[in-house]
Amino acid sequence: MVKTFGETTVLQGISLELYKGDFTVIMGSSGSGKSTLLYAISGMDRLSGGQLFYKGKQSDGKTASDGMLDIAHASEKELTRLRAEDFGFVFQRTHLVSSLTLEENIRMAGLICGSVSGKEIRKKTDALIRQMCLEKAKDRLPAQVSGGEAQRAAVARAVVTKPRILFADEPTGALNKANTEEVLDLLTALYTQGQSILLVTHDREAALRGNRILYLEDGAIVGELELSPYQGKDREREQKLASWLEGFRW
Amino acid sequence: MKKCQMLLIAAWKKQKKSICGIFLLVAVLSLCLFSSLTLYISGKQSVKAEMERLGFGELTIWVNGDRESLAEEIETIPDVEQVTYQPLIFSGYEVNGSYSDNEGQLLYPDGSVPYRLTDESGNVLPVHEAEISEGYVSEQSAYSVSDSGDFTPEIAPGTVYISPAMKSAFDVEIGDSIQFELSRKDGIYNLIVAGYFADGFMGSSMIDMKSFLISKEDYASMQDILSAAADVDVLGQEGAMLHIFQSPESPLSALDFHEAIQEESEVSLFTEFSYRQESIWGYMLLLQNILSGFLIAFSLVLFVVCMIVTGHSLSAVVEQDKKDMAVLKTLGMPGEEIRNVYFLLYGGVILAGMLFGLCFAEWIAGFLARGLVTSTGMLVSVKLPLMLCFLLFTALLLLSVVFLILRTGKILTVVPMEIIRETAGGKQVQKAKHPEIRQRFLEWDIALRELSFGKKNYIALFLIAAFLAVFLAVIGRMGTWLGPNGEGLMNAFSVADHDLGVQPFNQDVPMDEIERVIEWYSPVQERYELAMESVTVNGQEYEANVLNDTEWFHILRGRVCDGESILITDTVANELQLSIGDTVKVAANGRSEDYQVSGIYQCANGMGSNIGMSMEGYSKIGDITGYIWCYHYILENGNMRDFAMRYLQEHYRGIDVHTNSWSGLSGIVLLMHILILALYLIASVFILVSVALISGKLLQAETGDLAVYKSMGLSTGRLRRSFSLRFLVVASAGTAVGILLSVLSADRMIGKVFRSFGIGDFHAGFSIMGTFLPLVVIPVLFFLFAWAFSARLKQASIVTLITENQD
Repeated sequence: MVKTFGETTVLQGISLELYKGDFTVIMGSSGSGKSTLLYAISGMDRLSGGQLFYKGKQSDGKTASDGMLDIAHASEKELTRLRAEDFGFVFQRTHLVSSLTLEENIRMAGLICGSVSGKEIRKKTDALIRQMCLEKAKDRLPAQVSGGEAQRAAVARAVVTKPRILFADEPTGALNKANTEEVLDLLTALYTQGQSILLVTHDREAALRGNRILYLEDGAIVGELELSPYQGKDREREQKLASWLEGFRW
Repeated sequence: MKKCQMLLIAAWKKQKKSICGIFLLVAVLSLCLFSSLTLYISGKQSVKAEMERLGFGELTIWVNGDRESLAEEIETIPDVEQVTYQPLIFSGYEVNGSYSDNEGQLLYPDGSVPYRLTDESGNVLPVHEAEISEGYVSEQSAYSVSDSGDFTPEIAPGTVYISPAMKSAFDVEIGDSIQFELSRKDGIYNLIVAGYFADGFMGSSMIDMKSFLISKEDYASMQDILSAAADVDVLGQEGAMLHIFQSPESPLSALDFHEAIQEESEVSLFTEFSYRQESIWGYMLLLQNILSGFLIAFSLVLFVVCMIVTGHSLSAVVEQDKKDMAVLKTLGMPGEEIRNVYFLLYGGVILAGMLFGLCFAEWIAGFLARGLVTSTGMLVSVKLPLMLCFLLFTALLLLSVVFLILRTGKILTVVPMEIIRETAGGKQVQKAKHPEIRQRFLEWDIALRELSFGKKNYIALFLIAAFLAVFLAVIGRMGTWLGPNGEGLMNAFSVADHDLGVQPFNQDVPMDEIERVIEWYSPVQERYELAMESVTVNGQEYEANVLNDTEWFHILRGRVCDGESILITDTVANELQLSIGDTVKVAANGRSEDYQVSGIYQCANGMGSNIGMSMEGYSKIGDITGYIWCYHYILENGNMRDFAMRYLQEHYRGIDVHTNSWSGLSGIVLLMHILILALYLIASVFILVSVALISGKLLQAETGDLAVYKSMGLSTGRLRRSFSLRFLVVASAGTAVGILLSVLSADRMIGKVFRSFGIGDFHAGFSIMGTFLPLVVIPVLFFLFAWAFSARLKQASIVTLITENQD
């Protein structure tokens, strides 16, 4: 995967495989290209070169012969379908629709997806609201709730369609400690339930939740660390990550 | 100063699209306003100057016969300064197979009146060599023609010069022949059209009677034909124009002056018709005044629209730049200086747009004047009315300044930390009940939610749609009233509705046979008789419309007349200060009788200078046994009227056949349709620019939300549809309100304007053009333009949109 912005090459030809059921974390210092990589993989942005295969639902004749969809060359229509049905995305800034309540923001993703009935979407939304402890805030607009509530709603919105992959771009970057914990616990719970997650972060606490950590430096993957699934606070796990990170410009 | 300059340049760079849009709107408005004003003022001045040049006085009376002695008699009246006598011949004519509905007046330039020869576009021309070689103009006179047109060349025998308005009325070209009917026996006089001339009175297509310039030799030959013809055969007649100039010391009003001349001379015995100078201007410039009047009114609507767009744009910019303003304030920059930057930027662009329009106004007015030559009959010499333009320019600029001061006032109230906190932490919004979002109508519901959430952002759109709808509905109602063939004008200008009119001039006309011919084309539904005779009412001259069946009058108020009463028009009521129930003295042919005014009726013929009488009532003062009656027929199939008219004109002599139309009407209808089209085009440009500016600001403000929708899998197409639907909904609401306002007030408004032209009753009712067309066109244009301008959503990636939205 290659991505350039004008003269600057941000992704220098990255080769990478992601697996179903993994909680993959991409770490790296600011400007290393981790968000760019996430946007490219999730089809939110176009690559400048290379290929990106996704083994998902068959598309309208534009998939490779083995049933793989090349996201890098997929049509806008195909990408729209992926975003609606297969992918969920959590942004660093919550990016909720300002004119919709939290409940509507969550439900909207289901309505756009359209794979199930409106009644079913409402049921799922209500369940997620309970799961995310958003009962009190659900009828408020994004500008009227706390950062933590908004980000929890953003996560709920991303998973209401039961996506195959949940992408998260520094979801705790703008949150305080308590809210950070809440959101990370949510992601961990989803992972435990079988949700594939690709998280971009420069926060060690967040990275510890993953079972596979990749390190990005100057647009190239320079290291990979395998961890056992997260079971709770584990000092040994923390030390393993710290010593691994010492090998990079962290 | 330096910092303001820096900020000004930065603001310009950031907002150049909006600024260019506002410039375009103001420039179109200014062009529309100043060019129509120039056309209006120049038209009035031009016609006045031309009439003065051609020797028209305060009053012109057309008399029959050789009445040179009358001029001398009138000149002895103390209030009269001078009377000039211009002989002429009245004659019916046929051109390109069409018979004139009215007589023409044939004049020869004897040197006393400097007629200007022109090309078909109305440009004053020296005589061309080609014309000399073809014998249209004698060689001797061609050399003495000056460009100024102050000298009329001698016209070659066998040729005739006509008003350019005849081109639109009869499609006459140079080289065509016109047959003048002077007498039934060998009295058809054929002349070849050699060119055009500027006719200061009868040039307008609103006036059916036309002037013709002929050579002295032809004039003398025609006189010989008339004097040799037996009374029963004679069709044409000699006559004259008496141009009467009021003495500067005379204290009399125009009406009293006219009355004094009627009372103190015998002129009323020989009068065919008479017009005051103001009436002639009114006739000559009727269409031009309607056109420029509408454009001026439309310009004022456009000014309001400009202010709405500017206000919206300014509010959006202030909202967007609030944080920058707060930062500048924390650095110690006074609010007034920040405000000055925006004031200068927006004030500057309004000034530039208005100056641009002013610079090209004369050129556009000239272009319009050239286009109107076939309706005014002469090329209006266009000159920018500097003082009036300056005053209007200053007034509009001052209004804009006040508006900008009010709209930029918000900048002064920016409290730095409040804004910075608000931007960082999110603006507090009021919780409100919003409509439910449903899966089935997702785009529609998202659109409604955005509308309900950001109501104030759409007020500008609503107002623009409403203002434009009011105006387009008004002009549409005008078009509907006018009708596809000018039926509105026909009915307004005619005494009573009819499809066909036949007036026999002698006992040899077989009216029974003629009626059978008409019946062959279409069964006759109704039949009545009309005579139009000159009378005086309380000493003031008017035309009496005499009907044998008074139910045919278009009654506005009161009741129809009978043997003891008359009807008057609104014009007559105003001129003579009369109302229903008053008693008036009506005189004709040396006999007079008192009548009561029974009602007000509609007849704009003669600019409303008419009275309505019953046959019984007129018989008390006039002779009803002569050939004064015109038989009017209402056909079951009105479409056959032109065919029947043509047949009768071709096969019968001694009759005048006409429809409810007149020769210049098709030109008027065409002009009206062009006007409607032009206004729709201007409105479209305004909608385009307004939508460009407003959608640009909305897209900018909502970039984040739109990107989020996109990231959730809402396709760009659905997003754009939802975005455009907001414009459709708001524009539909605005248009509906505008149409409703126009339905409630348009007829009254137009009626007031038309009353000055003698049309007292205006009622358009529901119509496709006046109601349905704006109701559809305006919202659809808003929707389509919004769809087009939201294309940037298609091009930009989600990341770009989200990044744009981050500080």
